[in-house]
Amino acid sequence: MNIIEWGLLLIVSSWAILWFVIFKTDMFRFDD
Amino acid sequence: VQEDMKAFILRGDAIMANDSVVMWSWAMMIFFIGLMLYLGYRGMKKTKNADDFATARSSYGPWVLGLAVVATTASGSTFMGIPGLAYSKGFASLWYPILYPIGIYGGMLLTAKLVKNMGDHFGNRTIPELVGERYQSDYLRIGMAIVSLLLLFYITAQLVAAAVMFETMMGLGYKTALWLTAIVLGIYLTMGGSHSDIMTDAVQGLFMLGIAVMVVIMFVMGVGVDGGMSAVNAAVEAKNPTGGWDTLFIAGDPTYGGAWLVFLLLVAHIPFGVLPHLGNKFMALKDPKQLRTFLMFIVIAGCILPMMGLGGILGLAVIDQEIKPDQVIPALFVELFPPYIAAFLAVGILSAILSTADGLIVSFSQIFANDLYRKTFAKNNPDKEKVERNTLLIGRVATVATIILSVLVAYNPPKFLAIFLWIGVGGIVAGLAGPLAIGALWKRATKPGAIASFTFGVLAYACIYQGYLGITAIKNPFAASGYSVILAVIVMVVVSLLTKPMSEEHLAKMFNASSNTASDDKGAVL
Repeated sequence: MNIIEWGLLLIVSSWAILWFVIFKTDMFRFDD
Repeated sequence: VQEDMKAFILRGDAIMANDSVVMWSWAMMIFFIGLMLYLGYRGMKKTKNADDFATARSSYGPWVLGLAVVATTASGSTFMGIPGLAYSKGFASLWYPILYPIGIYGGMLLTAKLVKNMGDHFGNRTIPELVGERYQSDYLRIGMAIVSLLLLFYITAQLVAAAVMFETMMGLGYKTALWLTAIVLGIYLTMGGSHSDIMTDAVQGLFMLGIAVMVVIMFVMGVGVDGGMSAVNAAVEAKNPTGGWDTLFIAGDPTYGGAWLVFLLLVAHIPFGVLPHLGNKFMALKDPKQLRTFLMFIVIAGCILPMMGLGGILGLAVIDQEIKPDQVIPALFVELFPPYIAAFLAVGILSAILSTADGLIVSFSQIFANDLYRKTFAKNNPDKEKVERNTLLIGRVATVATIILSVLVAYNPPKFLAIFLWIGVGGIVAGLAGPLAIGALWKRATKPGAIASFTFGVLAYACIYQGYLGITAIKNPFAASGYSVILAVIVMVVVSLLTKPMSEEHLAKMFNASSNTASDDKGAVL
């Protein structure tokens, strides 16, 4: 794999992980 | 016309080489400065008290604030330094723009919620104040405030870069350009503090995103090279044998020499979001329920801005003559586009510089107004109204004083500005990693743990970077910072586990979002 492919893999997978943490866990949920 | 400009850039002189570019630059600069001053005026209208000036509390939605945060994070370094590195070292240098945003924005997830909560419930205005409150420690607040004074060199570095941009675009002398930058910043920040900072940063962030997206498209299409991306790689390899995209690490390079070094680079950036000028932005979010949208937006936009580095690679492929690495993006644009686009690009670069400088200046002013005056000297003053008035006044005066001081340092920058700059950033990052990044999630963290971690982190960074106490100096600031962060976190965990946990009551106040603690009872916890 060249560095562009590594970069894409790292960036997109980090987006996916962070999306999961942000939206699918209770960490950032605020109830009324 | 284009040939003239190219000749100027290649000599390392100004972009401003002919009437056409000067005219475009003045027009765009007048429009840009006018817009910044107008936003400064709007900020002034919103600034009613010292709290507004320091935090713009609960005032902005996720998109505006998100743009402001990514613009503040990406400085002149992202728009000039990273493409410059790419131009000098080739593809392997892209580890930096790939990993630093993952570290910074991933790290922001650790602290964002606590900062927003504590800001909402206790009215904390700055990161040092907030950390002091988290651990009920005056030492941590004052210690962090004092270490934060090193940010002056970060501000100076931005002013120098901004002055060079004005100089190159408008043909002003260096000192005149420096004062012009200072006056523009001084007017809009003194008027509206954080409000002006955030609104101008949001607009600057839009300019920056526009340019970064343009650069990514240019790279993918291989503009200026026949045959797209692969042809770019071939052209780079022809000029620099270790520069191609199949070379993942450059043997012997202090920053890109191997996977471990690159990993340290990532670690060093994880606590970066706790720097006072970034951490305090979370307090400006209107509603905690917007935190999710806000965080996802900064994660995505924040990863796009550093892709400016691809422009440095393209520059290496396209530009045949030798140029100064930091000039590669302007040189590339001049090579490929008509003058008015080069002028627009300079507005983008200037945006990157100003958006970082203004956030730093507001935070710096609050070291004096909030951390030292309001929370320390005037802590027991019963006349709260007078204290608030004084705090606002000190904030404004300190803003002007900070700018003047930075300009004077920029007249004659210390020989090793980069070293001072990195002692500041690396020291704060290493000092705050334990108390804030760990203490934001880990309730077991204790006051002695935080004090030990802060003190150890700052000293460890100074020793590792400068080579004190017989340690072999590590002059790669990312590695020095990365090691210090790891050590400071270990100290935080070990000392915390060995000492008594903080009271349940105190922790409930810090962490419980629905806590009804009166926000006007701000001094009670200390």
